[in-house]
Order: sequence, then C-alpha cells, then structure tokens
Amino acid sequence: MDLSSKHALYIFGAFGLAACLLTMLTLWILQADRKIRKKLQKKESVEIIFHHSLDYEKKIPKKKALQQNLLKASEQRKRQRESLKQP
Amino acid sequence: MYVHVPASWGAMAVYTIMALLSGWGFISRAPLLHLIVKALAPLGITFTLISLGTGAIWGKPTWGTWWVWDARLTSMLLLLFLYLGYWALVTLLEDEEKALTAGAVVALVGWVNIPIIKWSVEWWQTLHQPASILRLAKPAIHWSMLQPLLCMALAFAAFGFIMTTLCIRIELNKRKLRSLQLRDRKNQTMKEAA
Repeated sequence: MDLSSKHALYIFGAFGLAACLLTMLTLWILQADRKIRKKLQKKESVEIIFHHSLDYEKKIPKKKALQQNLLKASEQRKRQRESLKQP
Repeated sequence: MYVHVPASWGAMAVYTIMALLSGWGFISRAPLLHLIVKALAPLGITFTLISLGTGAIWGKPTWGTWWVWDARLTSMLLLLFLYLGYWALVTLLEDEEKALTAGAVVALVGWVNIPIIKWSVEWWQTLHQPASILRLAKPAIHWSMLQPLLCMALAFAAFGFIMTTLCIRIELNKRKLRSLQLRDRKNQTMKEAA
C-alpha cells in the first residue's frame, strides 16, 4: 500500500470513529427519551382517565337522583290511574 | 485536525461548564443545576473519546506510535477517567440527591485538570504540538485552515447544545414520573390504612 492511500485510510478511520461515536450518542439519547416519554404518557393517560372517572362519579349521584325522581313520579301516576279505575 | 481539535475543545469546555454549574448549584442550592450537569456528562465522555481516538489515529503516521505518555495525552486520559467517575457516581448511587452532590464535588475538584491539559505542552515541552489558536499571540494557523476549523467547532457546539437539551428533558421527565409513582404509592398506603 502506498503512502497516500495509507494516509487516506487513517483520515477515513478518524472520521469514521468520530461519526460512529456521535451516532451512538445520538441513538442512545433518542432511545432513552422515547422510553421515558412512553412511560410518562402511559402514567399521565391513566391520570386523565382517573380524573375523568372522578368527574363521572360526581355526576352519577345527580343522575341517580334524577332517575329515582322519574321512577317515583311514574309510580305515582300509575297508582293514580289504578285508583281512578277502581269504583 | 478538523475533528480532533473541536472534540478536544468540546471535552474541556463541557467539563468547565459542569464545574461552573456544580459550584453554582452548591451556592444557590438549585437541584436543576445538578440535573443539567448530569445531562452534560455523556456529551463530555463522547467528545473525550473522539479526541483520544482521533489523536491516536493522527499519532500513528505522524509519530509512529498510537500512544505515548505525553503530558497532554495523559491529562486528557485523566479527563476521561474523571468523566467516567462522575457518571459512575450519579448512575450507581441509589439516593439521587447524594449521587448528584457527590458528582458535583468530582466535577468541581476535577476541574484542576483543565488548565493542566491546556498548559502541559508549554510546561513540560512534550511531544504534542503547542497551541496554534488559543494563545496570547496571533493564531499560528492560516485563515484558509482556521475557517473550516471554526465551522467544525460551531457544528460540534450546536450538536452538543441539542444533545444536552434532550438529556435535560429526559432527566426532568424521569423526575416527573418518579413523583407520580411516589404519589400513587402514598395514596395506596393511605387507602390500605383506612
């Protein structure tokens, strides 16, 4: 191998080493970032569902009360109709 | 040269920033500063490895050897050990606060090595060539070579800035996740107690 091609090999080797190390660092950081964001997103989505369910649970008693009122009203009307039917 | 020199500058600059932020973190007691120092470490390690590797590749055709126990090379190797020591402390210790504090002490004390790296060539008249740019006199390098060198230095700095920002985001997200997990554990304990 002549001197110029040997030197070219050294130059490519140096650039290759730097490129390798910088790429490894970039990939490692991007992977760690994606991993932690995925975990956090999962945790936060559970939080959002939890908070939504809390809101829903607060609404349910009101809904239940309304349903019970409607049921009471319909039973009252049924009793009135039955009392009118009787002689 | 266009990779070795910017990488060496980067390695020393990153360690200097780590030392400054560590000192500021001790004075202001702001935990975020220690987190930023931790985020800078992987970048510093990479730059030091590039500097040593490309320096060895340069050394083989120029000096006929991959390595000599030259003052500049030895102090640069010591910088790598300091970075690795810092990283080992902050990742292996269980208590995060103690780990970051111990790491900050390493960063502060280890900064003594930076002026040694810079001035070693002048002090000990060793094999490594003396400074051509960062010196008291005019740069000894021609503008046609200085220009691409400064461009590469800027590219390394931009890359370093982006990677550091990503690392800081990772550390902040880890803390957020940990606080959510601790809160869940606390709620569960309170439910069980009730």
